[in-house]
Amino acid sequence: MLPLPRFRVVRPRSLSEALDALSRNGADSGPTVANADAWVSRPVRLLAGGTDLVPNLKHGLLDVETVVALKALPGMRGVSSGESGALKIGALTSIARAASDSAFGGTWPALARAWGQIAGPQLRVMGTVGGNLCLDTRCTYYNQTAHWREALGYCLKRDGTKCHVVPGGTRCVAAMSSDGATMLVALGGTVVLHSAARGERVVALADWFAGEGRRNSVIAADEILTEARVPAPVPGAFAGYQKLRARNAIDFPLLSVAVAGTAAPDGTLATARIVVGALGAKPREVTGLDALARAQRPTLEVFTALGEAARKQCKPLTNISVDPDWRHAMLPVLVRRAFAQALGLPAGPPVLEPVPA
Amino acid sequence: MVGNAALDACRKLKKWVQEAVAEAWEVPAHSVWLAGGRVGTWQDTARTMTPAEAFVLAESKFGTLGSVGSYNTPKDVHGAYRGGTIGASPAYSFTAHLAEVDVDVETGVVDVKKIWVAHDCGRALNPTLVEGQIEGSTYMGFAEALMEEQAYSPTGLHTGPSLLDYRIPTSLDCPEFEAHIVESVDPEGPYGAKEAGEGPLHSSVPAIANAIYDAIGVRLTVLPFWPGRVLAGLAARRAEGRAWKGVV
Repeated sequence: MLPLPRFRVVRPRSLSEALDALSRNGADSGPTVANADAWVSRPVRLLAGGTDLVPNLKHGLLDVETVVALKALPGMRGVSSGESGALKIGALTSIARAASDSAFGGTWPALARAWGQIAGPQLRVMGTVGGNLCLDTRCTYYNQTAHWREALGYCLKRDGTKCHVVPGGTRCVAAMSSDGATMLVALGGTVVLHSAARGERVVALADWFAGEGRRNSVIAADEILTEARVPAPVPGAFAGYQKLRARNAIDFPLLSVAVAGTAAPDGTLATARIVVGALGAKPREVTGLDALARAQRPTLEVFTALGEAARKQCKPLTNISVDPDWRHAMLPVLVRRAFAQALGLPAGPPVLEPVPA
Repeated sequence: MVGNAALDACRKLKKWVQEAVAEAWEVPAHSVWLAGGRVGTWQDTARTMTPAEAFVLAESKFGTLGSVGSYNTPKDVHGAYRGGTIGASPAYSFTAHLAEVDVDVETGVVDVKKIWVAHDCGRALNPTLVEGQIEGSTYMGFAEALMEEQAYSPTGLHTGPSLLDYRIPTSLDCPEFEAHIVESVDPEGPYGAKEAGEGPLHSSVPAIANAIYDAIGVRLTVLPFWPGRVLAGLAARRAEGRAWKGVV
C-alpha cells in the first residue's frame, strides 16, 4: 500500500483566496539550478485534477503541508474566443472536454488529437488542461516508490545528489511528458499566470520551459496558471501530432512530435516547425528548418529531410525505460507521419527500402 | 487432477447429506439421490426437497461441512514416464492458436488483429466459463508475446516495478478473440473434463511468432516481440540481401 502523507486541504472559492493560500510559498525569481531544490520542497501545492499530484504524493516525492484544491474556483472552465479569433481555454477545463470541444475540430484538430491521446478516458475526465501544462517531469529513476528509490540511492531530482541517467550530471534530465504542451509550443500558444503580489502576466509556451528537470517551467511559487491561449490559424496553416507509446492508452509519451507551419497559396511550404517532447526537461524545437522547407512542395522527400534534421538534433535518454536507440530511430518516422497527417497526404511507403529477394 | 480430488471430496460430503436426509425421512441412506437440482428418494418418488434444505439437515447433524479429497495418477497410463515434480497427468489438454498480425515495418510495432483458438478441454462442464478461461489464457499469452518482460536495469532493479511500468495490454491493444471448445470425454477426468486453466496460453505465443514470420520473414526467438527486436530482425534480413516477405 502506498499511503498518502498527512497534509492540510484548503478549498478557496475565488482566485484571490487561492493566491493568498499560495503566497505562503513566497515569491522567487523564477527557475535556476540554485533554487531548484527549494522549489521541489515548497510547502503549498495546487490540486486541480490530481492525476499527477496524488500519485507523486503516494510515491513520497513531495514535501507538502497544504494542498490548495482548485475545484471550486469559478470562471476557469471551458473554451471561448478572444482577440482576433484566438481560443482561450480555462486552466480547469478537463482534458476530455478540451479534446472533444468543437472549437478545435475546425481550427486545430491536431491539438484535440494531442489531448485525446493523454492517458486513458478516466484520467482525461479528471485531468485538466492547466495541470497538463504543469505536469511534473518524469524519470524512470524518479517516479518510483520510496523503497525502490532508496534501494538504488536517491537521485538528483529528489533527496539525492547523483543523476542515474547521466553519470556525473548536475542538471536533472527528467522528461517533459505533456502531450498538450508539446503541441501548444508548436502552435505558438501562451499561458496566463496570476499572483497576489504581481498580478497577471502572459508567457509564451516557447518561453515556458526551463531545461532543469527539478523545475522545468517559469511559473513562480506564488503563481497560478489560469488560462491557455492558442492563436487562430492563419490561411494555409497546418499542424500534426504523433505520439510514440507502448500501448494505445495509459502510457506517457516515449516520444512526442508536434509539427506546425503554413503553406503558401501555390501549395509550397512557407514555414515549418517541429517540436519534440519526452526527451529531457523541456521540449526541443528543431532548428534550421527554413532551408529545408521554404518554397518546397510538400513531398515525402522533404518530410524525410525534416525528420532527419530532427533525428540529428534530438537525443533520447534512458530517463524513459524504453530502448533509447529505438526511440531515436522513430523520430524521422514520426516527423514524416506528422507532416503527412497535417497536410492530409498519405503517410507514404515504409522508409525501410526493400531490396530484391 | 485437482478436479478428481475435488470430486473425491464432494462425494464424501454427499454421503453425509444422504445420511442426514435419510434420517429425516426414515429411509435407507443409499436410496437418497441428489440430481437435477433436487434431493429425493427412490422409496417415495413424491418426496423431494431443495439441496439447500438437505444441506441444512446435514449441517444440523454434522456441524460445518468440510472434507478433503485426493487423487493420484493411475500407474498404468504412462509407462515408465514421470513428470518433473507432480508425476504424470492422466490426461492432457490440447490447444491450437491461429493469429493474424499486422507488422509496421517502419516502427517494428506488431498489431495482433485477431486470434482464433480451439481448445480440447475434455467435457466442458460449464461452456461459458471454459470460453472465458480460453480467452483469458490467450490474452495472457498475447501479453507475454508483445509486452510483458521480467527485465532488470544495469542497476539491478526491476524495470517494471509498478502497473504503469510493467506493461500489460489495455483493451485498446487487444485483438479480437474467437474461442472454440473442442469437447472430448476423457476416461480419467472428472466427468470427462480435462482442463481449461493455462493450457490455452502456451500456443498463443508461437502462433504470434509464426504470424510475424509469415508477414515479414523474421524469426523472433526472444520474448517479448518488442518493436526494436522486430526492426533488428528486419535489418538482419536486409543485410543478408533479402527482402521481407510479402514485398517483391
